[in-house]
Amino acid sequence: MLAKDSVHMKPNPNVLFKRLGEEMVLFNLDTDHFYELNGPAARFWELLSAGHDTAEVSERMLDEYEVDRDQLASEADALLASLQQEGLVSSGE
Amino acid sequence: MIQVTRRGTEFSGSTEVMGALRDQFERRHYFVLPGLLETELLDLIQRQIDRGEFRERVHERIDSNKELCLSESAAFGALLFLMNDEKLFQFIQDITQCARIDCFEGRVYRVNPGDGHHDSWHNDIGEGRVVGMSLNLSREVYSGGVLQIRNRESEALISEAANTGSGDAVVFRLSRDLQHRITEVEGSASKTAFAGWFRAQPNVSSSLKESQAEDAPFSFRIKSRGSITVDHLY
Repeated sequence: MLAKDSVHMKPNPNVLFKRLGEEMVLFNLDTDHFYELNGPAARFWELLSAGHDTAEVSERMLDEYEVDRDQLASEADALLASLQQEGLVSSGE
Repeated sequence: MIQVTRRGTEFSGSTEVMGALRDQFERRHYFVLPGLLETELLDLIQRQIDRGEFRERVHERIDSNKELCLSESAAFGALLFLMNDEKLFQFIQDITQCARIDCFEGRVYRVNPGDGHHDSWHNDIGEGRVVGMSLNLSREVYSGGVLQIRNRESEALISEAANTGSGDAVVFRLSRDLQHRITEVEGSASKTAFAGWFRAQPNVSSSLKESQAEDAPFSFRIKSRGSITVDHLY
């Protein structure tokens, strides 16, 4: 999905985030919950919050990691679903 | 110069400015960080505080003291999250030349003029506290509520710091030779602040982050960790 469909998911502006080593810690002010993203997910969040759409994020990550396009797309879809479910991102449409 | 933002802490200070702050701290035992909390973030936090509940609190270890204290809320969690930051720790260490900082612990308090809220001279020493900080979260400019620092033995007043800019912070020395207090708030506007101490331990970064860097096959993982509370500091 990510490679052919460009989806503009935007981080919720009420989410604070900081890098702690390889990981990223997020805090959602709306829910008073915090989250931890592992290395690749942290990089995904970083690129998304820099304003890239998901297709751009995908291309950047294919360059940076040893992963094939299908696996990346599948992992990214699952992550985006979780982020959406937790109210950490929303569709920018 | 240094600003806590939604994306993390950003530093843009020059050697000259750092030198002036060091000099000010050396001579007056405090310095002010204007706009430490970025405006957008300040507004978010203030809105969360408005939804919170304040309860009266008396600090038993301080001779005579009464204030309102915010119960644990998203605002409190966010402030702990934001102020427990390695870049901020390093900045404070550089200016104050204090021992290594590993965490910031604080509370959101409010003092209303005319409600009998007041403070007494004390020094906050103990529990690994190395430097104090008060971040102004008030919506309005208040009168009074000034930080005073005095010599403990002679009781001579050394410094007074009004911290009335919203989002500004005053950082002050903790020492057995010094005492500090906040003067009564006057007029009609309340003072709301996130005040606490940079501490030598525990290491809060390791508490916020459970996972260690790994050499695992490529995968995305997200872990929900619940609310941030003071327990995460211990």
